[in-house]
Amino acid sequence: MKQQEIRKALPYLLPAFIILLVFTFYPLANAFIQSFNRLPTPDKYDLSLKTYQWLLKDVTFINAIRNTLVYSFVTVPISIAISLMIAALLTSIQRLRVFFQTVYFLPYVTSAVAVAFTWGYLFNADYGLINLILGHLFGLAKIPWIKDPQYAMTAVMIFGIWRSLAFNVLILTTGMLSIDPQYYKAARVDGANNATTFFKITLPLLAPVVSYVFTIGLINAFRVFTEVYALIGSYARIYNANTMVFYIFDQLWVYKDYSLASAASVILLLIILVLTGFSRWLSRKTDYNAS
Amino acid sequence: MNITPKKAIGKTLSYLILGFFAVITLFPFYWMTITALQDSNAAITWPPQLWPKSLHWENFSRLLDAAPFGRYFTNSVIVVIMDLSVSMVVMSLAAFGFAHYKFKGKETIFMLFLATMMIPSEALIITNFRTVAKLGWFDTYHVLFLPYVASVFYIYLLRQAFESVPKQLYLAAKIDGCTDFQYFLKILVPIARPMMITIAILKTIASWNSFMWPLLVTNTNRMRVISYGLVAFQSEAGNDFPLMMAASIFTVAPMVVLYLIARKKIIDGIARGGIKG
Repeated sequence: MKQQEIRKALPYLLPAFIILLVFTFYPLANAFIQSFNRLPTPDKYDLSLKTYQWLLKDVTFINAIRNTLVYSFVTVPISIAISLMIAALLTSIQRLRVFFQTVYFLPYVTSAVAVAFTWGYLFNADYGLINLILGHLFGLAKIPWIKDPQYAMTAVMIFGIWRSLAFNVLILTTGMLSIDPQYYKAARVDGANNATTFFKITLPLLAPVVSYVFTIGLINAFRVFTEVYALIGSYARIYNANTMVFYIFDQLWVYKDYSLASAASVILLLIILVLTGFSRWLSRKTDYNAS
Repeated sequence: MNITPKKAIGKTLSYLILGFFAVITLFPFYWMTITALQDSNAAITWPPQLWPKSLHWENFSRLLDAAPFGRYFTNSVIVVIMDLSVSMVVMSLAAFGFAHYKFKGKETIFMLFLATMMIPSEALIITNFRTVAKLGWFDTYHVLFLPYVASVFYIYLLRQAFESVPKQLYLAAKIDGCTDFQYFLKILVPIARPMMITIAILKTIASWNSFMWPLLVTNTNRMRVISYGLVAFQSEAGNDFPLMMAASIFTVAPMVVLYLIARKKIIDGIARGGIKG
């Protein structure tokens, strides 16, 4: 009976199997093998640890890792803090809630490239609105946001925070709205004020959701590429806005060094696996229902 | 209901803060729109104008003269349609295979599938780039979507939707002489339609906005999709911001329209994925 069922199931499963085999499992295995190839292309193989040694000595890669770490650990906490505030305010109101939710989620569905160009214009040193506002408010001189190693990464981070709010606000608001209102009623009977309620009830109950958006945020932040490419340009390296995926892209596209690209991608993969494992652990630890 | 002054102030403050962030969220879209209608010289004067002195609708026709955005747009539409028609078939078939049949190692294979969700696509792109080069797939429509048609997370959602259908329906269909495939096509698919529509919409957004892969695997002007066309145009148009913004509107508008039509489905779909992990 069981033998027969796999035969029946196979025609349905086969198309997806083939696609995943060719475009997911094979390239995954190949990335590992290629990363140990001392020669740049898969035409010839000479397996050694050399690629990783080069990679970790490559100033550009170290710089890319540093930029990625800064980007991740600056944008994600700030974005979540802002999102928590917005979500708390959204759940406290009735009127216009759907309107605000619709507005906040809009950046999620719009092309990062197109929006990055608008931000590029806003950030423009000579004609940009941001410099106009900063000049009026603080009397600052015009800042060359995009084309200056000192500011490029800051511009990318501001854009990154703006873009990531959409997802975080949605998930946190959904999480907050699903908290049992009984808790709030009880708190009100006990005379707790809004701040106490937020920190003593909302946040602890929301902890699994917060840890979830934190992890997803970090994973996405470690993969930042389009934001950099569209805002800073293909020479992001020069403006010190290089990131790990940008490095992979450069190795692949510009230098055709598949081995270095693979080794960098294996390191990225390992970081993301650690983050995913961490998130599993964190969500188990913070889940009230589970304990 | 007695509203204390303190409460009223709190409420007003809430709306003010929410309004402030709504402005921050929407402002780039406003800026994109009015810059697209701005005079090209006025866009590079200091200080920038919050409202254009005159509206230049001809910017859009100037854009179409400057670069084949009609072509890019059509390419994107074609890729989305092809992507949807192939991926919905591949994914729902696989979901049915997993939901309906029992065989040894099924759950192990499924877990293996789900585990691939943790792999950043950037790690796969290196080999895939070479694979499609060897297959001679550069500058084709199918190269733009085929590697991504078997989205594991959507197979998982569809499997759940199919499994929630009571077995009695299958037995009844059998008595009526349905084959398994007819049962899948005529009973399961219509029941799972809401889920399939949600998935199709989310896939449309991802497909339309995809950037890195099209950048790698298309070289000719003729095959460019809109996001790549936009980047290519930037290096040509340079500082003609109104044209750049007009091109950005071409890119953004279809998804904004889709979002306004299917807002609830999109938001529910993302929130569901979010909460379930």
